[in-house]
Amino acid sequence: MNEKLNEYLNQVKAYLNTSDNKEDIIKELSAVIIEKAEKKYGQITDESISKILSDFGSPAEVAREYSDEQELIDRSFKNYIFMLTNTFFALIVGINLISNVFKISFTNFNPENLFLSILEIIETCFSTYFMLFGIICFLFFMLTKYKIKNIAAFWEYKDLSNFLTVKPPKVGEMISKIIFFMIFTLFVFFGIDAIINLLAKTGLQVIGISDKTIFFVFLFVGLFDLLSYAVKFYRNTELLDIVKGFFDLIVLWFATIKMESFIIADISKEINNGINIGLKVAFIVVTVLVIIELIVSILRYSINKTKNIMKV
Amino acid sequence: MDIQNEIMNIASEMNRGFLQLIILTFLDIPSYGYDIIDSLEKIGYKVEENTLYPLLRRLEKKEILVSEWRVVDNKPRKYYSISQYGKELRKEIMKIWIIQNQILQKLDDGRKENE
Repeated sequence: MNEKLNEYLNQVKAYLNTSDNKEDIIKELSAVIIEKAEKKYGQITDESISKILSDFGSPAEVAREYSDEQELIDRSFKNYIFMLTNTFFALIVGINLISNVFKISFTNFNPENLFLSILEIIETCFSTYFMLFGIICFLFFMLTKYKIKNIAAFWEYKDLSNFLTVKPPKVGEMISKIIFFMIFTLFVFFGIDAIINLLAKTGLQVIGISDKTIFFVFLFVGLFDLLSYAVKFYRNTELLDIVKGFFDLIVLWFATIKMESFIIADISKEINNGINIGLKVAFIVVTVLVIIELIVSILRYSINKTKNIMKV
Repeated sequence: MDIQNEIMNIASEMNRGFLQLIILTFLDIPSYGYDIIDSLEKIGYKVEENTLYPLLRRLEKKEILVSEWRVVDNKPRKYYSISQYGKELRKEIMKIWIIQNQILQKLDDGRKENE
C-alpha cells in the first residue's frame, strides 16, 4: 500500500472511537481513496493520493464522523490531560515546597506530629491533583464543545527527536552514583559528628545537631535515585523518572516540615545562621532540579505516547 | 446576520434526512461508495465522502442496509443495498415526505394568493 495512505489510515484508526469494526472502516476508506485516485488522476502516486487525502480532511475529522456519539472530551486531547495535570501538579508542589522553606506555606503542617503531617501531605496532594485534573478536563470539555479541536501541538513544528530519545543507563554513571551515595552515607553517619568534634577542638562550644532529618532526606532521595537508575538497566521507561520525581518531591516536602527544627546547637549564632541559610539554598537548588527533571520526564513521556498512538 | 450562513445551516439540517431518503431510494440496486457519489453528482446532488460513508455504516448497523465485499477488476469494493426492513421503512418515510410536500405546497399557494 502507498506509504502516505498507510500513514493516514493509521492515524484515522488511532482516532476512531466506535464499537463498529475498525478494520472494516479502514479497509473501506482505503478502497475508496485508491479508487478515487485512480479514476481522477489515472494512477496511484504519492501526489495523487495526497490530493485525494486533502479533500478528505484531517484523520481526526474523518474519525469523528464515524464516532458513535459525541465525546465529552475529544480523543485527540486525552494525552494532554495527563501531561498538563502532572506538569502543573509538579509546579505547584515545587512552589509549595520552596514556600515551606521560607515559612510562607499555604499548607498547615504540624512538625511535632509525624503521622498528622504525612496525612496532611497525602490529603493536600490528592485534593490538589484532582482539582487540577478537574480544571484541565473542564478546559478540554469547553474546547471540544466549541469545536476547537485541531490545535497543533508544539512538537509538530519542531524536530524533537533528540529530546524525545530515552537515554539508556550507563554503567559508568551507575558506578559514580554508587560511589557518591557511599561517600554521602559515610558523611551523614560519621562525617557530621566528626566535623562537630573538630569544631569543638578549635574552642567552639558545639553540642550537636538537634535534628539530622534533612540529611536523611537527602540520603533517601539519593537511595531512591540509585534504585530507579538500577531498574533502568532492566526496563528503561520515562514513567520510572516520573515516579521518581514525584517521590523525591514528596520526600523533600516532608523535609520542609522538619526544617524549622534543624539547628546546630552552637552558641555562635552566626555559624548557625550560615549553616541554616546554606542548607536552605541547597534544599531549594535540589528542589528546582527535581522539578525541572520531573517536568522534562512528563513532557517526554506524554509526547512519546502521543506519537506512538499515531503509529498504531 | 449573514444570510448565506443561515441558508447553509438550514440546508444542512434539511439535507440530513433528505440524504437518507435518497440513499434508500438509490440502493435498490447494490452499489459501492464511489459509484453512489458519482451517480448522485451526475443528477445534480453533491455529497461529501465524509458524510456518505459513515451514514452508510450507520444505516447498515440499524439493518436498513446490507453490505458485502466484492472484488471487481482486482479491486475490493463494499457494495451496499437496501434490506427488506429498509424497504418497509422507505415506504413509510416516502408517505411522510409526500405529506410534508403537499402541506408546504398548500401554504405556498395560500401565500401567493394573498400577495
